[in-house]
Amino acid sequence: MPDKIKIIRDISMLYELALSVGTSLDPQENCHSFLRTLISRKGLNFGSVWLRQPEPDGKALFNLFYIHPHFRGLATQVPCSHYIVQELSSKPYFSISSQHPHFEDILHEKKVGKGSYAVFSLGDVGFLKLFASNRPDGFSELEMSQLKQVVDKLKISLEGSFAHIQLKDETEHRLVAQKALEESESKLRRIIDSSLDAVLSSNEEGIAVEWNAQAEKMLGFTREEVLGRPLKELFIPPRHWHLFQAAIDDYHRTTDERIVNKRYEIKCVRKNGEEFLAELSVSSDITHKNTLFVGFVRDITEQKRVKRQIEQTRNRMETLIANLQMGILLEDSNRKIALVNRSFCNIFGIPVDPEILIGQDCSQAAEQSKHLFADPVAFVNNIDHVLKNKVMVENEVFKMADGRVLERNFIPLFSGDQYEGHLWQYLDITERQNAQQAIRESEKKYREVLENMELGLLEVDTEDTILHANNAFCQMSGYSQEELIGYNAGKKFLPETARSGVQERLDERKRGQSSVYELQMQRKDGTIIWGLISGAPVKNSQGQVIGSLGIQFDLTERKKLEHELAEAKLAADRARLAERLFLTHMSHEIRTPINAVIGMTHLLYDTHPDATQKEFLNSLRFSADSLLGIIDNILDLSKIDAGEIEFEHKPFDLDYLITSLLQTFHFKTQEKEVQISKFMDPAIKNIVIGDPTRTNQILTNLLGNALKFTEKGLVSLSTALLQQSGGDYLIEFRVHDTGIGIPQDKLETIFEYFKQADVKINRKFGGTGLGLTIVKQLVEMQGGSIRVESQLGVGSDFIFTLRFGDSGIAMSDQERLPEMDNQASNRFVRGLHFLIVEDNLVNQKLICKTIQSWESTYKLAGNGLEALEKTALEHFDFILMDIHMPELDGFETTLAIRKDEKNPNRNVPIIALTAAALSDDKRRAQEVGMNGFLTKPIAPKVLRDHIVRSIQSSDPHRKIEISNAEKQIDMHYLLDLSNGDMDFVVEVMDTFLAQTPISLKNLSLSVQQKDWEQVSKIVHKLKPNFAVLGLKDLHKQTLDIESVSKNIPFDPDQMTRLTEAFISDALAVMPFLVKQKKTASLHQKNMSPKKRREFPK
Amino acid sequence: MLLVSNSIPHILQYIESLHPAEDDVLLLLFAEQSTPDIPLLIEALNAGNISFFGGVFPGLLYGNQHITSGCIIKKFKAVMAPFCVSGIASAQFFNFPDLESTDHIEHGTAIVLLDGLSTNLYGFLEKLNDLLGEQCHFIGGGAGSISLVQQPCIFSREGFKKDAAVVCVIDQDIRLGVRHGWEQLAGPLVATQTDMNTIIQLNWKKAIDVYNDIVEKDSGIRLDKDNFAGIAQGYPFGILREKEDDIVRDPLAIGENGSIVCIGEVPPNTVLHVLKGQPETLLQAARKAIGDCSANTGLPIEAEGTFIVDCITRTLFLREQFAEELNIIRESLAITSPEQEPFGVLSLGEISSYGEGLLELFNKTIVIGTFH
Repeated sequence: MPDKIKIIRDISMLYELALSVGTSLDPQENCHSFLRTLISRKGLNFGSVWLRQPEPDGKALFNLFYIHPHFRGLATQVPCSHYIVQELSSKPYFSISSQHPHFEDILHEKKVGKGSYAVFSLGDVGFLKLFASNRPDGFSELEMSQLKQVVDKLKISLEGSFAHIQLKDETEHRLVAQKALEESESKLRRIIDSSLDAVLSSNEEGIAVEWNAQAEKMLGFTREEVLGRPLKELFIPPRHWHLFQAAIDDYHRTTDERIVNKRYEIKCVRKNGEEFLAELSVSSDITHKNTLFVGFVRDITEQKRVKRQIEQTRNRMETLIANLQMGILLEDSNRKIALVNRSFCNIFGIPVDPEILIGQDCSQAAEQSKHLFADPVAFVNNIDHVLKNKVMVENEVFKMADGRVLERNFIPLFSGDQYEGHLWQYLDITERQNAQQAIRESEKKYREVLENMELGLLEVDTEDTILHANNAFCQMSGYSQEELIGYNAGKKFLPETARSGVQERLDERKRGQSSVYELQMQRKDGTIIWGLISGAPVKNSQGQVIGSLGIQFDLTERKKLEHELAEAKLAADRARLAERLFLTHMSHEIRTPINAVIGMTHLLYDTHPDATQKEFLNSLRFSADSLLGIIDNILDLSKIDAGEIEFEHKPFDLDYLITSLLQTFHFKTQEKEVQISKFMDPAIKNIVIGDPTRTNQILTNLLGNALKFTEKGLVSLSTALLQQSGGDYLIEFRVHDTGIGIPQDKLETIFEYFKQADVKINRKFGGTGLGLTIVKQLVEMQGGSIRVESQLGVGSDFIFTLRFGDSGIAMSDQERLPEMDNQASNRFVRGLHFLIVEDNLVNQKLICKTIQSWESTYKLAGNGLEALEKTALEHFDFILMDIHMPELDGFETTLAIRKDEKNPNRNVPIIALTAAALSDDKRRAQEVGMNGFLTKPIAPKVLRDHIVRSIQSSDPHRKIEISNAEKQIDMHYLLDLSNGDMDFVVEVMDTFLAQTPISLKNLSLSVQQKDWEQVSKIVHKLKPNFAVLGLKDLHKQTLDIESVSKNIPFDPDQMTRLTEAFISDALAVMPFLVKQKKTASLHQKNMSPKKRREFPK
Repeated sequence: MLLVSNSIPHILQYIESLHPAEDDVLLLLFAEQSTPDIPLLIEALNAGNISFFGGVFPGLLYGNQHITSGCIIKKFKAVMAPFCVSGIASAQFFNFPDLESTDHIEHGTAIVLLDGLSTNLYGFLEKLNDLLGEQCHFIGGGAGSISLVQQPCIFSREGFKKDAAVVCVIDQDIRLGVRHGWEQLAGPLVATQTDMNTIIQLNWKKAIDVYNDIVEKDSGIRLDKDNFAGIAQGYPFGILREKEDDIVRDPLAIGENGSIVCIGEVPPNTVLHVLKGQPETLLQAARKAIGDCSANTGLPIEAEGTFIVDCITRTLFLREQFAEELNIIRESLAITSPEQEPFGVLSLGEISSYGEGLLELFNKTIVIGTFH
């Protein structure tokens, strides 16, 4: 390395080392900073600083002050005779290697191998010692001399650091001493200040030199105000100044100690002129500081006041005793009267003032006054006995000769063991005694009443121990009074099961609460009786609860009756349930075969029957339909009876309903000469809100009857708007016919069960006679009314009214469900994949045929378990589910599919097919997650329409643009792109169908959040997908959105509108794509690769 | 041992097969590209009362392979159980929980894993050196993510943490080789103003201006914020030391007011050089480092195991030739059992007590420790 570069490097390093010195006033940190840098940059192992510590003998010790890095267990002190110190006495530094004979002498650190030490003097501070294992032959002279410059800086810096510390220490010492002095003074002042007496002192001239805080408080002058003023002026009233001065003068003259260390009671004066009585103690000098007298002034105003107060109290007490109602006589130990009051004199008729009696001897008093008592001898004996015993006796009662009653207390008075006398207290309790007697008598009377009434009465204490039971209770319980009193009531009467309940009642009583409750009790003979109990707490005069009282009424008979009623109701409910179950089963059992009959009839029509066969088929169908009608009626009545009919409230087009209904009747009138007509009141303009199914049922029944009984003429249905108010329509319906009519006497009963106007009619016209009953019920349950007008041989009018809601939407405005012709509808259900779950083979066949006729595919499952297996394996578009199946029924199967997260058909529509048609089933179907409910027998058209509706309702947007959306799809581009590879086509569509709905959802979310950047991003990403699938309109929509997003100024409303329209249209097209894909998949399987290019349209 | 799977059940199964004794400790190393649910793993190991420590690094090394998945698990006898120090960046003092119990340690190797993206590491290492420097050798490195976004990367029974370090003393003697192969290009420069790992001034001028002049002169490219990281990795700083290799500091980015942010601290007034490396000099350094482990005898090293801590930037600089670095090391070892296969990490900062010297944090360096 060229010398120049080395020099620059050396200088740079010395610069860095020099700057690492003096970074802190703290010598430890100073050493740390320097050694850290030095050791790192110089590649040393460690370095240490040793400080010189002077010793009393003039020599010095050197102590290890800092070592970096940290070492343990090394020598930390060297004497001044040490090799290092000796060496440094003659030179500023030296270096020795491990080969040097003195190396061991300066080795203080553990685990030091080969290498060299460098030692630098730090002058009076001490020395610096470094070690490097990478310098086997010692530090070079050049390095040592270079380092010396930096080490000198360290020396100066350390001197500064230590000087700083010393200065800091000295300052601290001074501060400590000053603080101690201040504290001592402040302590003395605190003692004086905290004295409760005012402490004042004066010098020899009588000038104030001390005035504590209490003096400030008591006398009103502050310390600053008084110092330097004559003391006498500060607390002695001017009229006594001469006395004060005289005392001082006296002391000066005689130095007589008598005037000090004494207490004087004197009048003092405050700054505000107020005088007060004080006690002044004077002592001589206490602080040896130019003070002669120290006075302690204590305000004794309060002391005097208390003394006065005690006297007053005593007076008051004496007055009180004198005027007490109770007679008081206090005798001293010699039986001399110490105190007696007016009441005492009054009680015993002593006609003198009580004061006169004080000091009188009482030893003969008993003898003198014994005539006043009813039993004089007993009284005297009693007095002797009491006085002898000298024990307190309370509440002794004496009868007086004049009939009064006295209560007496005797209280002996002791002072320690010394007998001081005794106190007699007499109270006239005659009135109290009389009142108590009255109460006792009243209570006795009351008890007698209770004893004699029929209600049981039981009194217990707080432990539930019986205190009293009346006769009625004894009769109720079968125990005698002796068997009850003293026993625990709960254990006696309560069966185990009832005890916890009673504990609650007992707790209520303890809280002082009353309650009424019913309780079962066990009689002595083991029988159980029911009691109605009114319980209330019993309290003593202090208001404490001491027990409770219960009045019992025997409820057993009533309970028995209630029980029988409940049993009867249960039996009735069971019977009703049995009836309903029977109806359900019957309905199912009959519907299943009829289903087959009707279904097969439909199929037979397709087998090109000849005219005769067709006629047979017609009657077959007619019979089956009639039978079904009867069952429907029975079921309806059953539902009405059970109160299970629930009416819907949904908007519907009444005109459309009536028109469709009349259309179906046209077919039936073809063989008769009957015209059917309708009249719709033009005032009914709007869609109504009500139950279309039930309205239809009512009209079907009435029109059916009209046609049945009319061979010739006219059947008409007319409506009239009777009332239009508050969003309601009241509409009158009139079904008119020119039929056989009803006799007047039958008009009343015609709506009753199983009533037809004439039993003969039944034979001719058939029918169960239930139709009109159902009609009446359905009308009335919807709040309407029905009546009949008829003339025999002329015709009948059935007139009923129903109230509907007014939707406010004009009938012509409503988007009717797309009325598709058969062909269109069939196209709609083409290419779907069904699962048919049905255990009845005939029904299976029927449904399979139907689905085949739609060019759709299906799989069969004979029961619920099989259905679960099949649904786990593949995806279906629809599941048709029989309800009543062995093992796993339709509800359970549906529930299992809906719950299984892995089942690919978890969200597929499931339509219930059932022969039983109770609303229980319908409700249950909804609960388990079925999407539709059809009653067997199932006409193919009904099933198809239901499926079409189900597809549409799952996607509201589709209703509007069904045909348009379907037309949009143009597969040519994709087919061209795929070069006819159907696998590829299906894969593309799969991907599109899997991802697009998620993207659309995110898009919708972004629109809501007005995150337009995200909207543009998603639309941009979606754009090519729509193009590939030939969805030109949607593709154009994406282009429009993109263009609007770049408009300046940006129009968020337009953006929202366009994007939402796009989302809705894109969703509408999804189901068709699913269908297309299915068809494509089928072709993919069925077609030879060559043919695959031809994509089905 | 390298576990190909990083599924927790597999890891636990493997650990169970090791039958760890009470005084055994497990070292677990993961690559950031495939980290299992570490908190869950910690919970499981704690439940099994197993002593462990580890980190998540920019990459793992095993045999002569650079790998980014799986898990390296090593069992050692512990002299002192792993202890974790958190909140390094803001710590004024480091309170080591087992300070008193280090007196019994006669010798051993302290494995130090720390959050390489934390600051104040110098202060931490200095205290650690005071604590264990007398008895132990050190080896370890900085964990963390190559994205340079600070996130939890150190774990022990106390949890999965960032801004933390874990230290464990194992009952193994180690021979260390520490080299980098970067050579002085320009200098000396004095870092006249610095703040922890940021150089604010060089020679009393804006650091970036001085640095830029040097780099532009050599490479012909003017540095800016965009190209800085790419170019500067070829021109690190070296802290000047006499008789030893410079300590490398890796410039990372241009900071505020023309300052330069580095990995690792640069104390104020440090004398620096701008360094430059060639693939050959770097590979030569690897050769020297493994040579140091054998005391340059040239004989195959019969170690019980070999721990490599190699700076992630060396892989970026050496690219395909990085495999050669690993080959150089492996070929110098006498391997007769899988336990002897070298293992290690790609690190953000390397830790070692350099030769007999102090514990240091290096950049762009390879640290090799052979266990004996």
